[in-house]
Amino acid sequence: MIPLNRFTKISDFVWEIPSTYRQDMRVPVRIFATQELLKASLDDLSMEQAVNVATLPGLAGQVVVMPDMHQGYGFPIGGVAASRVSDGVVSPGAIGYDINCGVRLLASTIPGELAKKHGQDLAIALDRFCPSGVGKEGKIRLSEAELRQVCKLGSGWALKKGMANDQDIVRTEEEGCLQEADPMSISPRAMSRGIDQLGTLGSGNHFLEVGVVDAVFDEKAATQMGMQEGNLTLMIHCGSRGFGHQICTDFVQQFQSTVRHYQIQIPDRELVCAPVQSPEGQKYLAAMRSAANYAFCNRQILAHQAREAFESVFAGKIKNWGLTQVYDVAHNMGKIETHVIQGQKVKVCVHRKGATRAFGPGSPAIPEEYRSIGQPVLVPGSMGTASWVLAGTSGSMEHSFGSCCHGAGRVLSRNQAKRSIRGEQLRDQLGEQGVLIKAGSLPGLAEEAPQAYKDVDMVVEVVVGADIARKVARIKPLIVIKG
Amino acid sequence: MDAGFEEIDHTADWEIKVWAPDFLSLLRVAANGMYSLMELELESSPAVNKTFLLPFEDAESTLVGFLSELLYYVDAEKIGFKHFSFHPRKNQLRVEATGYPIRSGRFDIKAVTYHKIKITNQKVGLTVRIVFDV
Repeated sequence: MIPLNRFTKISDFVWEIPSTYRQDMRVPVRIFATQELLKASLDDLSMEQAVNVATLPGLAGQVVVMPDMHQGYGFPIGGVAASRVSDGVVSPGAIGYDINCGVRLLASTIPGELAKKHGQDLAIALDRFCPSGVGKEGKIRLSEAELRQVCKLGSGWALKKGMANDQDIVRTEEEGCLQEADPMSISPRAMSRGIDQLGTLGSGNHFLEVGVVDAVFDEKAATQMGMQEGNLTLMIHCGSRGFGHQICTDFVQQFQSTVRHYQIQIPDRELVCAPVQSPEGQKYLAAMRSAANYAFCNRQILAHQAREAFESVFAGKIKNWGLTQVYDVAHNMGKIETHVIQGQKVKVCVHRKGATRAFGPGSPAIPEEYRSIGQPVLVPGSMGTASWVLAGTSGSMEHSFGSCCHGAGRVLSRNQAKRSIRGEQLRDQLGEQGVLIKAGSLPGLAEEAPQAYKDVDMVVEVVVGADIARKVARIKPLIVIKG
Repeated sequence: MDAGFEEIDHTADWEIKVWAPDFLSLLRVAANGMYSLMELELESSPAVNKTFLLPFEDAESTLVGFLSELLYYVDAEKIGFKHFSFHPRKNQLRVEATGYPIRSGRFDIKAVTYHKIKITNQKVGLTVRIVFDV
């Protein structure tokens, strides 16, 4: 464990582990946290993992850790690392197995009271229209040629099939399609896993959540995003399913020998990597982008299916049951971006693992309609607590490679959570609080209990205090569908 | 040394400690450990036989590769294995596995990781800790 006195306090919300802390560190680690959150993080391996990341070759600036940090496998969840394209590396494990796991938020003009009246029907319809559970097949079975198209087009594939509208596409990170994806870089095994999982939610911490906007902090930004206090929202959290898991598995395995070939020293075998510009690094990036596009398309199809569920419940009861996209943003991703680092523009490969891109106002990478307010940042809570909509700031561009937190962040292990509450008990408790739960597994539900997570409000106060995001709106959960 | 596994607390993922007298037993016990985390229940028929080859570069890679293979069959073909027969070859391990369709289970594991993986050879046998991405 790293003693607290080895951290340098930069401000009430920013701390640093200097690069002199360990001989093999190449850059410092900068942590966004209150002293309380920082102390809590010392209970697990997140800080050691961040220090390990700081040993990778070609890193620019510093390794950044968000306040929702927790121990992962190799790279901490809530971590951001930017490696120079010229002499840095790309690490599949530092992006994660669930490539482009992310969050999509849709807004509506449906009054929140209607969710109480039709809550059961809506929960059943969402569960029916949006299949969940790992390995669960969707309604769409792709041919290999179609899967290659999904890899190349991302959300655009859903648009061609009538499962998206133009606004959905524009309001998605990278317009739902990373360029230079190459399905030829993907193993037959990964292809076979991608055939029948499009339009499915998966399990674990993935969810659909119907909520109600219960507070607006920035009227202009909320209006621009289509959100109004008292109206229903829908949040979708999922990723690239078995397709992405297999791609990452394949490359982590292959890169075990790649690090030996390039004589790269790593402190943990999960941090295996390849030079960004090497054939191996480029092949991984092309495969990773294919999985990212699959994930964008998956969330798009889930949004389409959720719209069908809303229609089945609300048609004939209200005039407008439509769901309009607020934004879709990844939180497990590797992107080539240009950032100003120590006064110089540097092209870097930004690894965000459990961290959300949060570009500030004026960025050409965000939709024109959001350029005056900053990119929407979606921060889901933990079933019983609020979720947040934030906006990226110019501070995020200066301090965190245009990145922000991605959620509340776990604090209890899954077993600790299960020991603290039973699934049935939690479902009943949340029901009493007005949150209707539909879960594929009750033990799985207990593992995701609100008490297993940090206080999301505290996490948000940190990113706001550190000026890497600002508050737009808060959303209260009403219905949660878990795989 | 006897053989077995136990679950270890991990903030976000699943972790097990596995011990066995030799490497091939370690593979069997690790498979049982992973299936146990997944609470897999198998049908009693029809039996399914699969054969696969694993490269043998180092013991940890073979272990991760073996479990990843089993995970693939769970996700892609909905099969869990009960019996394994191992045939070491030069730089490869041939695995013959007999299994059955999955009746029920928890399918939360996304991947088998290399995080801090190290098989330690103690006087009484081998021990390893394995972290699964959930």
